[in-house]
Amino acid sequence: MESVHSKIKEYLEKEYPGEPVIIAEKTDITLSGDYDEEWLIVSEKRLSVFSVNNNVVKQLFTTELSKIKKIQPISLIGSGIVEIESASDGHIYKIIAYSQAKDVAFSQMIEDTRNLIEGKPLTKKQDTVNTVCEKCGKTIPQNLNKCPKCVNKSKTLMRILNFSKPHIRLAIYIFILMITGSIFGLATPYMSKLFIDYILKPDRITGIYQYAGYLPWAVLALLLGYSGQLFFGAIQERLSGIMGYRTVYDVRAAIYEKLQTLSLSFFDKHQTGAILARVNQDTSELQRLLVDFMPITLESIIMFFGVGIFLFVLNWQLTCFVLIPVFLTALFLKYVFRRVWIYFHKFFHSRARLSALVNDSISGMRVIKAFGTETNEIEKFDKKSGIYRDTGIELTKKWSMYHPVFHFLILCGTIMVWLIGGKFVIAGKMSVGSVVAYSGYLAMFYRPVFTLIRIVEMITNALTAAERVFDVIDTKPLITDSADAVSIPRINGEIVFKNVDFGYNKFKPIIKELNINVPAGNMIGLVGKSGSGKSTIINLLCRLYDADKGEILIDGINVTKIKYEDLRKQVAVVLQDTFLFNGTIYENILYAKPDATKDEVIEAAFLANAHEFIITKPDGYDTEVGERGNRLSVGERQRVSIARAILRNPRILILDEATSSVDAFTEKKIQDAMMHLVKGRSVVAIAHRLATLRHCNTLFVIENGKCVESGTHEELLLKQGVFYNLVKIQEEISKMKAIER
Amino acid sequence: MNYILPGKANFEKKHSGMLIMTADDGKLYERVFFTYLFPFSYPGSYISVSYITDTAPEEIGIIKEIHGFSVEQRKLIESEIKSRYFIPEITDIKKILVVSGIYECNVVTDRGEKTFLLTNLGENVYSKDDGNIIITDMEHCRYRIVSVKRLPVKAQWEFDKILI
Repeated sequence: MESVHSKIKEYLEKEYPGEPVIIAEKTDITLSGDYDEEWLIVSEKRLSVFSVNNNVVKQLFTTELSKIKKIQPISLIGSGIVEIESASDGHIYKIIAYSQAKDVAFSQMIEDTRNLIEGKPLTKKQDTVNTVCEKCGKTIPQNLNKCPKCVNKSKTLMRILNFSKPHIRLAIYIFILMITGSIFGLATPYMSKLFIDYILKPDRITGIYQYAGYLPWAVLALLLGYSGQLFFGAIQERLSGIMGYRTVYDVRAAIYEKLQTLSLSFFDKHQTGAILARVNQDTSELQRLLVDFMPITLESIIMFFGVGIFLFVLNWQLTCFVLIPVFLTALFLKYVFRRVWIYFHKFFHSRARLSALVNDSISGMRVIKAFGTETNEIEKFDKKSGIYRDTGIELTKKWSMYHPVFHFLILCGTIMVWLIGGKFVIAGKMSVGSVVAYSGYLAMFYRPVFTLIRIVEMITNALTAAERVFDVIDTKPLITDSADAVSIPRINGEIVFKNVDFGYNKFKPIIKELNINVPAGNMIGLVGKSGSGKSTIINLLCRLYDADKGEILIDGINVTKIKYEDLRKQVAVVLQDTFLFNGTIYENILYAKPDATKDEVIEAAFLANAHEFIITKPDGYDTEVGERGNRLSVGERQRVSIARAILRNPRILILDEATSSVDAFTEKKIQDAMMHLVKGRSVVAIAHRLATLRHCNTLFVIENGKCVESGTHEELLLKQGVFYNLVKIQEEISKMKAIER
Repeated sequence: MNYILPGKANFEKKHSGMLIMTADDGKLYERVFFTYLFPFSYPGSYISVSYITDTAPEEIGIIKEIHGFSVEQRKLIESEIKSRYFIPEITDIKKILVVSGIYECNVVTDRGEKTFLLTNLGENVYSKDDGNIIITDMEHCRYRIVSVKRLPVKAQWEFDKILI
């Protein structure tokens, strides 16, 4: 329960003494649709709505619980309202509004208010209901179990490193190679000092190059320095890549494995695109973190301190001067250069939009040609291409302005070295060689400075992507085997739905107090309008979701107590929208039973009337079905799907609109195939064409999630109820179609 | 298609907050509500008028333009729509802070000031072809920017932080 505003508490104690608050929820918008806070308070006797402005409490609505006939949440667009039907005047009152952010909290509150009115116990606070972050005090968004702002990034980093644990030896090699490569890199600028100050410097009196003999050795040392840096750098890069890819392989495997175990409700809540982004983009971001950012950061830190030490050792006074332009360049990069990146963003954004348009247009070329809308498409392209051109020009303008400033600042450092360093040389405080070496080190110093400034943001973004990956990995599947789950190697097929309630949103039930009884080996039909809840019943039977209330029993055992694997093995579904995987017909049939022999696959295809069309294909069973099976016709796909179900040999078979959207000839073929399929098992069938359910033992008519009629086809017709009306409507449609023909 | 013309229908709000419509033939519709047919591209035009029956909502007709209605009727229709559609229009962006990869947006909307959190810009900031930008925050609340160019210059700079 949300803590109640102190002023409201005072008001309640004064006006309604002895009525403690049982449920309270704060909303974020008013009924007029503006942001503001209002309170819905429920005590044992009454329900009230309050607002508090300048510490003044205003009671906006109040009623006794006994006078509430009905209370319900109404979903609007981006918000919702609570409606109350008064038992005393029969009016319907809108009492409070809430934004989408409060949807779950208010739905639960209304459920609890109903429970309170009916004398039932209150529900437990759901995990999904907003809670407040202990650290920052802000509301944690729905469906998140931690405050996104306060999440500990170092913990995420440690978790990523944990994935790298199996490759720890590789990590040590990388570190050693990095240090070694850096030492070689650091040595090379110092060589220029040796050349200028010793080897190439003649004796002031004799004019003899007394260190000339060292020239080949010094050149060799220089060569070694450069080669060593390149060699160790290359090996380190290679090993970093191997380690990064191996680690990300493990992360990707973990997320994919988790996705396979997650309940269907997870996929309902998340869009396919978003899930794909988790698997592809976010893991790629993780890959960039491990393969690119982390080695670069580590190398930059080593170089920053390494070069910094050399700069101070060569001349600490000069370093103090030189740090001024370095500091300015760093500031420029951090604050001013960011502005240019925005133009890069805009440029990439417009390019992506243009690319999406071209992609869309090329994919839909048939439609464009059919409607003769080529000119429109050209205009659309010109508009988007124009935006792309303009953002490109804008970017070039800004880049040409900022880029020289950036380089000028870098050059200032070099100029400063020659200005101050030159003075030191003239004053005899520094050698020419030291100034040259210093310039070399200074050039090396800029790189780690710039990298470290930019990398922080990049690493933060990569860690955020990693958190999204871990969010999926940490998601607990809702459908799991309970500790006392029993194994049923062979299901008889008796199905009972006992007072079942279910909603995809728990507080908005789609199935209400449903009772269905299917004796083993019977075939039943579910009949009803679209959206009446038929497919949801099937989802519950397959245990893709668990019922919120009531029980679903198979052979007298609650489905939640049957081992999930046993259930999955013995229930098969043939859907209207058949999904085939990209692969061959053979692979798709085999999907139902991976260890089946070729003979079994052919027999299943034969019984499904699929064999006859397969043999007409040039590649027979090796015919590629294409993405989602789109190289086969709807009827062909359907028969492959039936073959798959036959091969599975399930004890319970579910047919969801399995014969719709095909012509009469194909339907006959499919119907014949079905006859083979339904023999000797329990069958639950859904069909819009009611005549196809004529041979069912019992038909259940579903309306708004409730079973309103049941009986045989003939019994229901005699009843002249809902089913009779549905049949009449279909007959009229059939007659109209016949006339049209 | 039944178009509801000005003068052919009268809308009235009851004390309980329910809207009723009286058609010119005297027929009374209770629990009336409005639906934009083009909420982003033509808000203010093409408004579907429906009412809640015992079974399902039923459409009475469509208001093509509300300009012809009296000022009072217009105000009533607009306020009803405002309470039905909660997609606040961002009129100014005060600050967008980036904390740990999360964008904390402090904005001014036509419904008041709001601070919301945003992540994963690729999925949650969507530019429509008509210039509208739809932003979905971490709590699945949607916000709308009708045109970035209509925002104050500083707000445009801030907005650039979340443009990808």
